[in-house]
Amino acid sequence: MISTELVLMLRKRRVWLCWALLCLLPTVVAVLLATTRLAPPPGRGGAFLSAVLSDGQLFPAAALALVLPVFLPITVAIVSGDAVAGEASAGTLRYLLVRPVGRLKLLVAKLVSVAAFTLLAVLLVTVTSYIVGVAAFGFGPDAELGGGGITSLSGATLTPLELAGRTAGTVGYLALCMLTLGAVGIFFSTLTDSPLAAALGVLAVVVTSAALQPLDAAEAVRTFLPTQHWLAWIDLFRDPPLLDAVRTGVEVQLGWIVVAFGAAWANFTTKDVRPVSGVIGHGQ
Amino acid sequence: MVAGERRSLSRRALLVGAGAAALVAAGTVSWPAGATGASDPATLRARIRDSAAQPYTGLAEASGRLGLPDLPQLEQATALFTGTTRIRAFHAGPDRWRVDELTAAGERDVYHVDGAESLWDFGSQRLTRIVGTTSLRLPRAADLLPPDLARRILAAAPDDPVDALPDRRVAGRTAAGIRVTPADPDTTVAHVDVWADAPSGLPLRVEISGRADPGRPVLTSELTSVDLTAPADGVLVPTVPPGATAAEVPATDLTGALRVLGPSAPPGTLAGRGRLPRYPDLPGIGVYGTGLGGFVLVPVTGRIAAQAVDGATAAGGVAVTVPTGRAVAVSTPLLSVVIRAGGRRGALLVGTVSAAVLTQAVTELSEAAR
Repeated sequence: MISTELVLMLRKRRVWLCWALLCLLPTVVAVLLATTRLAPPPGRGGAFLSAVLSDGQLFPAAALALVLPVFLPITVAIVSGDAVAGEASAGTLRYLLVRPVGRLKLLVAKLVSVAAFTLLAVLLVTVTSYIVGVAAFGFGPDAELGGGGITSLSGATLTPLELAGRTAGTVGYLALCMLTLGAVGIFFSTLTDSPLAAALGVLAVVVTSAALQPLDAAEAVRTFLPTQHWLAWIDLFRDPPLLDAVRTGVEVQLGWIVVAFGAAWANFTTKDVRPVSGVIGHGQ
Repeated sequence: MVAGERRSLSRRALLVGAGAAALVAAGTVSWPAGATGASDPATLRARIRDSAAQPYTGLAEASGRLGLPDLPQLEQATALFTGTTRIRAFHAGPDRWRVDELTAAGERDVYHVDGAESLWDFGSQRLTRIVGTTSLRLPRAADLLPPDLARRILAAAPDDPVDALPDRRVAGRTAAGIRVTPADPDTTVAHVDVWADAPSGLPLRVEISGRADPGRPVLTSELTSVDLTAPADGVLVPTVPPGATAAEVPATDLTGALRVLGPSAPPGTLAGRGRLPRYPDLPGIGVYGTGLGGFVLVPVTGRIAAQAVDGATAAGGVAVTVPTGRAVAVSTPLLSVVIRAGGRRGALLVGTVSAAVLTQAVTELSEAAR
């Protein structure tokens, strides 16, 4: 069941389009920065963006910060919103449920395929931006001394091994943050037959969370907002690495995933799946 | 069948709802503080004041809502009191520490090792070594760390009455609390609450409340996690990474700058408060009042004073009638500011006293200048 869902996801053109667009944005930024050599002043623009001109190895971090606020959530919303609602609107959901497979198993398979999508999305952005960054800006001043590391936010130099470890941590963390949206998307997808409505629902959650975040009045609920911890991964690039915010972020994201997936399960296992008029009804 | 489905739907929905509520509760419920077995408030105050040697590593969050107007050249200093600052501390001792101000796009670190200070700024990729010392400087993130803030306040108010506060959990530790209530009727500070780790006396949380609204602290600083062991030696050594610049700058020479200004000597008393023997090396600067109700007189050039008066008036300052020149008063929940302009020299008065006290002081100054 899971492998079937994974193969189905990989066969979808829109999935590949999402990945391609995600990788395109940082590439465009890299090309513009490399040709103009105009980096935003320190403290302005995206995280790490002011430092990439001197070290291309920092570009994956800058690229992730670029796609994180809008692009990444949109692609996850599209793919997860389609999970159940897409099958329902295409009329294939009934056939899926006719098979001797529980509805919970189907939902788990959908969640795994969304998780694979988010992980691959973050990974592809990281890998392409590393290649693009190094090609456009070089390996940085430490490489000229034979080190090949990068400067951490605290000034100490991170060795290539440390850089790889912290980048891997970032990829995993961001994939988890996006899986939260994926789980919410799957829940919305069980509520409606329209994939578009489900995707817009996810974006509404993101926008609401981002709007509440800076409000002093929302201080009591701020920790529970899904977007609140998205930038915690930046702490991994300090020296020594700071794990407090990442740990809290992981706990909150896992909580959201459990609740959203639970809600999807509660709704979907008792959902009355009706034929779609004009698709199934035709043969009856 | 349909009714059965509805029942099971609501049962499942209830289960998920209960699970969500349990998760939220687990994230918000504060664990009971337990007993600290703390001694009386006066002993705890003494222990807090002596806690500078206690090594620790921790992460703090300070948030202020002082509502200061944006002052040119001083944005970094005023931001500390008007927003939220994340601070990481590595404290091996009073003369061996490192404090990082963490921002979303980098960090600004201060290394203080054996009397020498270095500043690292990731944004500008520069390590600056400060040569020499200065007796007066602008506030920085390190000043807002609960231990430093608490010790500074308690040192300033050694005789004000203290009461015990209920214990609370801070950074996973049970902390004993004391409340300092200033005796001075003219101060803007209603009370300062400090919670400290009882055995070591290390302050973990500080709340400063103003008279205007004593129920809501104006400045809160808390260690969100703390480890009472000394940091590794390695983290206290500043390094110049490849590609970054290293610079050496002399500590800001305020004495020279003030001497150029040629200020008159500050009066012995202002607004009924005696001048303290502080900063004798800085001509024209006077510190008045004791405890938590004090203010400082800073001489400025006539041009800067005129700009500041215009800026403060535009920001909603209240005009003050003075015998010569013009003056404006700005009140925030904790700090009052009065600026006087007119002639070759102006004056800036800042303090934790009511604007009425500063207005009286500026009137006296203005009369003396006549």
